Amino acid sequence: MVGGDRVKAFLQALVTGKPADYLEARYEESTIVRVVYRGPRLETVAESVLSGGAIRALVNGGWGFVSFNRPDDAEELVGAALAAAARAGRERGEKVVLAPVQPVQADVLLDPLEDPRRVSLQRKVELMGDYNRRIMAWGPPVTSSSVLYQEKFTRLWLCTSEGTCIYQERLDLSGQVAAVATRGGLTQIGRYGFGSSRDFGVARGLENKVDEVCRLAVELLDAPVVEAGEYPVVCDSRLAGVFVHEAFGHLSEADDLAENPALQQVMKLGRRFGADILNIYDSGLDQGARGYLPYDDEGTPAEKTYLIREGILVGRLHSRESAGRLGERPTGNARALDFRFPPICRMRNTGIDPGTASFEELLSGIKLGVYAVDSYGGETNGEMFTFTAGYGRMIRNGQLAELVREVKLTGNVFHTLENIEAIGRDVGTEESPGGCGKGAQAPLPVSHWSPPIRIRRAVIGGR
Amino acid sequence: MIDRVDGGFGPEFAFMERVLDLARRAGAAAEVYWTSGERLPVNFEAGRLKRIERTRRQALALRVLHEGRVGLSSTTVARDPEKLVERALAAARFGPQAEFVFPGESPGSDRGDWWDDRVAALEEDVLLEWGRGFVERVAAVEGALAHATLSREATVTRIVNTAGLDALYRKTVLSAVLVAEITEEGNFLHVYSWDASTGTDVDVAAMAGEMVEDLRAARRNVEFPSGEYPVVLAPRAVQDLLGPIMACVDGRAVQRGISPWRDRLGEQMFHPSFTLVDDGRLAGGVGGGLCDDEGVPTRRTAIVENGVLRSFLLDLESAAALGLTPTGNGSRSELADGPPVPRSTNLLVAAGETSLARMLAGVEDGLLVENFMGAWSGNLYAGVVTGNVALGYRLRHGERVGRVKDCMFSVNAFTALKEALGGISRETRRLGRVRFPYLLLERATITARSA
Repeated sequence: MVGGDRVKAFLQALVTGKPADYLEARYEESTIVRVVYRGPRLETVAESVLSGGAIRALVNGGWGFVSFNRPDDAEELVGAALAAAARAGRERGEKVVLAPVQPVQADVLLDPLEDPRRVSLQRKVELMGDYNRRIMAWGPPVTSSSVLYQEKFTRLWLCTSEGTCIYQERLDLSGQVAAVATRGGLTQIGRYGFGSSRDFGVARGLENKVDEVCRLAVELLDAPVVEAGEYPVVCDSRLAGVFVHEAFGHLSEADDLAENPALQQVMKLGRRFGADILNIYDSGLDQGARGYLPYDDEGTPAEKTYLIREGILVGRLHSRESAGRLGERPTGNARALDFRFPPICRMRNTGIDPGTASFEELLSGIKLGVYAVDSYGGETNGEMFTFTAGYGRMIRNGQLAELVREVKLTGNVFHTLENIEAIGRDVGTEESPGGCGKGAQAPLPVSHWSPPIRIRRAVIGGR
Repeated sequence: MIDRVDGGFGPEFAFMERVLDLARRAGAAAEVYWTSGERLPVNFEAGRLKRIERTRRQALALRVLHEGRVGLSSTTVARDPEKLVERALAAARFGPQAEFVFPGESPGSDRGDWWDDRVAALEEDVLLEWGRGFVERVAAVEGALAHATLSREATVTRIVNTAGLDALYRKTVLSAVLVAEITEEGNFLHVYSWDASTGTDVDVAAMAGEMVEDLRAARRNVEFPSGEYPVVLAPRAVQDLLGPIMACVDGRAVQRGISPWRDRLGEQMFHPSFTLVDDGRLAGGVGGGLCDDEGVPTRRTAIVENGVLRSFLLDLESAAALGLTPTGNGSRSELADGPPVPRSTNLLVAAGETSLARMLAGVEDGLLVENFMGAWSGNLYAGVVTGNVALGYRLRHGERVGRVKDCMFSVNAFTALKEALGGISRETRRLGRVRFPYLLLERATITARSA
């Protein structure tokens, strides 16, 4: 489908004058470019064009949702969405008031620094190829590599029965350079990730990073597995970001909360979760962040939402429905991975406000601890969570000491947040590839801009 | 819409032929993959019906081998065949060296082995009734909330290539994902269950019964000091233990030298009682089909047989690079927006001799883990499995005495399955595309939070 206004008219016609409390229609077209080097080989050069739409209807508290690839199916399926909503609504029989938002008519065009669409495919392949050759030229024990580049440019239209009609252009660019070292049946990986919502420049000039990941992979071959136990832990800014994402971000997604009275008791605004120095937020306003989101997938404008201020629970991440159920304000956190899914409460750029500690101050006074660096992801069930570091260094008498590998931490939201006893002053704004998963919707681009933090004690699994 | 396989997809099929033809004329060998499906999920949240969905999707992917290089492009709409071909040829200009050729032999005709009319025609009402039944069972436990997604799906897949292959088959999938939770101050409990089949044998009522039992057994928390313990892994936890093995038998990882196992086929690497099989022809198995996503016939592959490493899981490319026969494991993503990569179809660990009751009875002081959290992340190629015990019970003299929380389980899966495998249960459990027994590990490291 081409021609922005034609799409808007098409969607508007779908949502107008239908028997529903609320009706929204989305349509998107994405172009995905992917370049993958693994080992000595270029493994993939692919260009995909995906398009599809979705319609969501609300009747008496019940939702109907349909998705499709062929615009020709939309007329038939809008009927199916209305029938499904009516069916679910009969069973629920409640009046759900979506929290109000001002209807918006807007065109949000991409505002790139260096636009990847103006960089030829050949140049992208060559650039990644240069990094890959540099890794492979390092020589044994570096035996393999993983160099990824992915760019997804999306044109997205959203129209609702309340009069919102928005056209947005979204860019999500991400990748990594990784060196793989092997010796005697042991494999270790050094990795550097990058990402942006506006700038191809983040993929350039990574030669020093390539050298660093090669050195790291080689050194990790000789590093021992960290000894299991409970330690004071200093997380670097990347890992601190993932920590706050897992430890508190998911618990703050209000869709579960809105339907769970017991959880509402536990998550009462005003409850203390941490020390006065702790401020946690989630923001859709940070240009360049992968989690930058001017309007969410219900048309709610972005804001910076504080979850914890001075240790106290002050907010949560809402869709219009969850906000409506709890009598709170929508925060612009309703996100759908793509046209195949309905929007649900998700994070954007989740971070911790900077504190006052220098890096030396974060380490000082720790007799035996772990400095945990970079992130390979994590998981939570709301209360307990885990997160995996890329690697670690032991801290001995306030100084960084030997390298350790396989560092994975676990914690409990009711204990670990209050154990954050120092917060660094320098926020890291580096992005990671991959994304966040919730239900079947993964990977969704998110960011974690945080300073490094010190946790008084955390459980580390291992040998 | 899927019923019309023999004629209803005329435009899409004509598009595929046209794309092949255009690629051929440009001097390229080509493969066109197409899949189309419709899914009907009903979704219950917090004990009530929340949403009814109907999702339709289609994906078309073209792979060309042109002047010795591979190019890929994909789309979701059967329109502009010229553009699709143009993009794939452009990608091939800078693309990787082609190390494989497309297979010319078709995998035979679809006899309906992956299709069940009863699933394809299953009424929304039936799914809703199952959902309500589950919700009611959970509601009988004080403070418990139920969430469920029940769905039926029908898909049709066709793969054609310039070597003459033409494969077409249909598949139905009935699936259930069930969650029961209890939330209280300082204590969240989640019990999960899921299953799927190409037929109607997904027993939501039986799953509900077990979950309710778990909810009741997990209401009391008990202390568990750090140390080395015998640990019984339930089927869901077994999946995490197998993560490193599956990473190391992935043909691409072997091809790239990341897997340390390239030269170890035929070696006794695990306990002789351990057998691990990938079975793309398993009756009811939702991971199977007539062929994989590259048109290679599916088959049964012993990955580990009596502890001996027997096979990797291979797609066309990794098989060609390693000089081995493809195993029918080439798999594409739902939107087909990337290359096929090796993926297991239906994964099975062979049942053992011991009854679960006897296995548990043999544990003096240890742990039963129902499921881990976060155990999938980390350095799989080193065999490390470390996970938070999301739902686990302390075992004393074979009895579940209460729930254990806030601790990490760690083993090296490679050594554990060789030196510490103390038993495999007779009972197995299917979890969608896998079927596993309970495994007893004689020792694993448990690290707990101090009080």
